[in-house]
Amino acid sequence: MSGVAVVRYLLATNAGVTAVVPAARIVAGDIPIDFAMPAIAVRQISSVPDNRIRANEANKAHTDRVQVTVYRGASPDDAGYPGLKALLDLVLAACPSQRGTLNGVSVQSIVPDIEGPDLPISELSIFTRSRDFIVRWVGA
Amino acid sequence: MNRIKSLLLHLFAAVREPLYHISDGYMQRMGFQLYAAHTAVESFTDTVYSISASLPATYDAAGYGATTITYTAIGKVESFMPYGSKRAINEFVPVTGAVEYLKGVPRYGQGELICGDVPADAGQVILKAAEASPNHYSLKITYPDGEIHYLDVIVAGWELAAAKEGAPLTRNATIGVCKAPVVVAAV
Repeated sequence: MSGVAVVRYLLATNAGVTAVVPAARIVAGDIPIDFAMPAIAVRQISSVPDNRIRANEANKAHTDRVQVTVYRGASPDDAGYPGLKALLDLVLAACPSQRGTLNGVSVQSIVPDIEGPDLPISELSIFTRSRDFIVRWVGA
Repeated sequence: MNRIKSLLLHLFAAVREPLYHISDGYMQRMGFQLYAAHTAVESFTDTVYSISASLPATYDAAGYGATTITYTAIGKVESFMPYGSKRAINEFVPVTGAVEYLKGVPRYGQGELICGDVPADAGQVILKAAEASPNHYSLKITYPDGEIHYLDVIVAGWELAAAKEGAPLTRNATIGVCKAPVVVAAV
């Protein structure tokens, strides 16, 4: 959950992203039913602790795979499919690799990983695509 | 006669207990006495590797267990080399007849201790100093069931692992075991 908290914090405090998607519509986990577009969901795919022989040693590094999925409605109300790519570019720019304490989490690095695929919700004319980030952080 | 018998019985009772404790303690220290070693397969998880620059007066359980030796735990250990005793099988190939095999002298093991690099870790500080030193060091390995192995080691390497994106910074300590491991089974 820490990787999600870090990425969600970076997106919700980035002016470029919030100019397109208000912070209230950047959610950790699944977006609720009847949510307004555009929106961003931040989910955890996996979190792998860096286990050493002594399992309970303090300050254990974790490697989280965090998936950011952007949702855009059909144009002209929302930017449609072209807006999908533009918003994901903003997401990428909002999460440069960095270390330090972010939202209370001791972060070592944030590395962009695989992007895609497109998963349109045809009956609602909603376009979605995701990008993964590998967040390395230190905790219990 | 009865007085002599009574005197002998008292004398025997007086020396019996100390004799028992002395001999029992000696046998325990020397590893002659059977301890409650694990009877099921154990895991390496939560094994503690500790090191000391002090050497024992005698290379046995009593020497290594002396209170004068302070062992410092090595943090973030990822893996440890195999050790024990292994001998080469030497060959003699006769012109006629079968090859004859001869056992060589024992090697107690050499290889790598790999740990996550934490420069401030007290145990890793000692490992680093050990590499720069010509001296032997004492390594104490405490297994999860309480079994302890003591090794007389030299540390011949303190290298940072090869770099790779996403890989943790680890240190490889090259260790040579110079004497037969002293094993103290869990009590």
